[in-house]
Amino acid sequence: MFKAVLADSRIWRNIIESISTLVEEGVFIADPTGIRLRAMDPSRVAMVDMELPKTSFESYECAEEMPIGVNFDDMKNIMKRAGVNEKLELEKLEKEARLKIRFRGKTSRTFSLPLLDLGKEELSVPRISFLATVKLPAATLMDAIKDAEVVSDFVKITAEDEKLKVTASGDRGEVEVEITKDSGELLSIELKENAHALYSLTYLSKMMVASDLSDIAILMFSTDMPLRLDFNLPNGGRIVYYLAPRMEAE
Amino acid sequence: MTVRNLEMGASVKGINVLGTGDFTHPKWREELKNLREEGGLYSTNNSNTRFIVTGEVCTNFEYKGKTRRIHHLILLPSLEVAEQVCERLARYGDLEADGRPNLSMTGAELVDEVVEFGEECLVIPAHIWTPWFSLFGDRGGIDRIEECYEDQTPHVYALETGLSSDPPMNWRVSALDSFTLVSNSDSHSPSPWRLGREANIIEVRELSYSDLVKAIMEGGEKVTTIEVDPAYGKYHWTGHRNCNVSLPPDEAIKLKGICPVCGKKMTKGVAERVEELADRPEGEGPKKRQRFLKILPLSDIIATYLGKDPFSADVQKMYWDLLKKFSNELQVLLEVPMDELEKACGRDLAKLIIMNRENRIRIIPGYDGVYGKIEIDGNMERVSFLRRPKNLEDYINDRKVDANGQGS
Repeated sequence: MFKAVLADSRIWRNIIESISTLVEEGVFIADPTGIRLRAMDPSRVAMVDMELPKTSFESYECAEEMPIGVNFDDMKNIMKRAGVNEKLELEKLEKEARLKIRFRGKTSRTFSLPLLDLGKEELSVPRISFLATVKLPAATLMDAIKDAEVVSDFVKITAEDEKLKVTASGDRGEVEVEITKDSGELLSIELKENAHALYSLTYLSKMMVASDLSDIAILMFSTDMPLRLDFNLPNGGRIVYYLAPRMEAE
Repeated sequence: MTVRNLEMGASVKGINVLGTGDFTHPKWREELKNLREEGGLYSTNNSNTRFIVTGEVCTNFEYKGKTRRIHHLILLPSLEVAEQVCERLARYGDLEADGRPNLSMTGAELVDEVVEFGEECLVIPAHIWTPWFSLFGDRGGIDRIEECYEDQTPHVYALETGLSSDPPMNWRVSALDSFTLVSNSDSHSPSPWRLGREANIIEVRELSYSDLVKAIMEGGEKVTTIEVDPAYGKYHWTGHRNCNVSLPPDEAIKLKGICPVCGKKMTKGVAERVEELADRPEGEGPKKRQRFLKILPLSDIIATYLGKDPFSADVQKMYWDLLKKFSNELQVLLEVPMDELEKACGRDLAKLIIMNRENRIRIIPGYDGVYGKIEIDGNMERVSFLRRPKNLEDYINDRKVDANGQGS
């Protein structure tokens, strides 16, 4: 049996939104240490890696590993019903192919979500030695992405000389956003060497949904290699995204 | 296939009038009788797609000591006429055995039987260049149209070019100048990937069987064909599938059609067969020429963009997402401007769609039953592919990835 209680149901709502932005179906693995999910988007260009440890929950019971396959659209629709100041209970009995989702507030409301038998896909994360690690407010990164979207579908991210540059160009024009330590918007930058790469704005924009869970974003990348974007949750746990680069025209 | 899914496929593709196919089969004919008739065309109550009564038959006959097996397309003005034509054709073969029945009769006898029900009952030789079962096919075909249709040749008004040939290839044979060229998909699936790969744009005063057929009989400017690149077809070049050998006409002729790997006879491609019968050099043709458009199916374009199979979930998802934003596939392929495409599907795919429209996509020619493949490198403009997102799995699996996004 698996049973977990979160003090604020909106946290789970935001987690589901952060996953469903990339994948339609996936398998949570609940085990005695907590819940995790790792899934790739259908085009295998992006990955989401979520962990929510036992300590993030008000109470948590899970004796052994249990796969919980869900359709994220369906779960998202249920989670939209989460109210302010409502606790969330997730419950799955051993042999039941359903997940009980209970909102506890002024009333107790229980949804029953049919589970999917999706098998278990063993996914590894890309093993990359990142040249640049940049910590900045999620809102600042979001603004830079929105600026880039005005002119293009992809963005060049450059880390050099203690600053982060977000540039984009296309038929609709060009934009350059510079984020420096002096402005206070660059919380930290670690550079093994200068790095730059192109990424899809469509995907980056989707990943920024997780900024509802964390005010700080941690960006890691290397030249022409996948990007990693971390959002650490206030009560423990994290959402990590990976995104394959686009190659620059010769 | 059902009327419903054919209707849906036609609607998604952007086809107004679709051939019923298989009118000779009694069970299919029975299903078609549920449709509403108007002006010799048929439809259901809940769709704008019209059906025209069509079917394909194979005639088997001896000519110059060889058995000739030739496929013919038949167009009829009503299911009632279809019923009567079937009564006649049943004398020459078992119509229930197959959707495309084998009939022991000559091409001339077929035309004679069909045209007896009216000059607007058309017999059109099908995919005339494919190696097997076609008018000019290398295996079992003939060299002159009169050798098949004899004194009935004046009642044959049109020729179906097939996927592996296009109008310029047919124009090289002056004996074909007086025929209208038509293009059809001969699709065996209601999927928009297959349906309407080739089609016709026919100018009519009103949408009726009579007007459509009259336009085909008159030809000229009234009929524009939509073609795939002939290299996309399964029999464009000469080749041998088992040995992965594929050759253009001049090289195949030098080798006298013998596979350089195994020494067996190769399957002669349409390009080589046209070369044999042509009396005009490449690029020449009659003074009056029909208009034609060349376009590859959208699923193939998306599949190339994603580097995946056209029927894969990712390709189909992107296809349907795009189709939700526009009326139909042919509109996306032929009409939607670059800026609107870019908004709908991103710059790279939009560019590829425009390249398709401008015939700037190269095809590795099909041969011996293998479809042609879109070439993604070589000398063509490469920007679309260079900016293709790489697959994250490439990094997880520690595969080396070069600057073109190609794994090694």
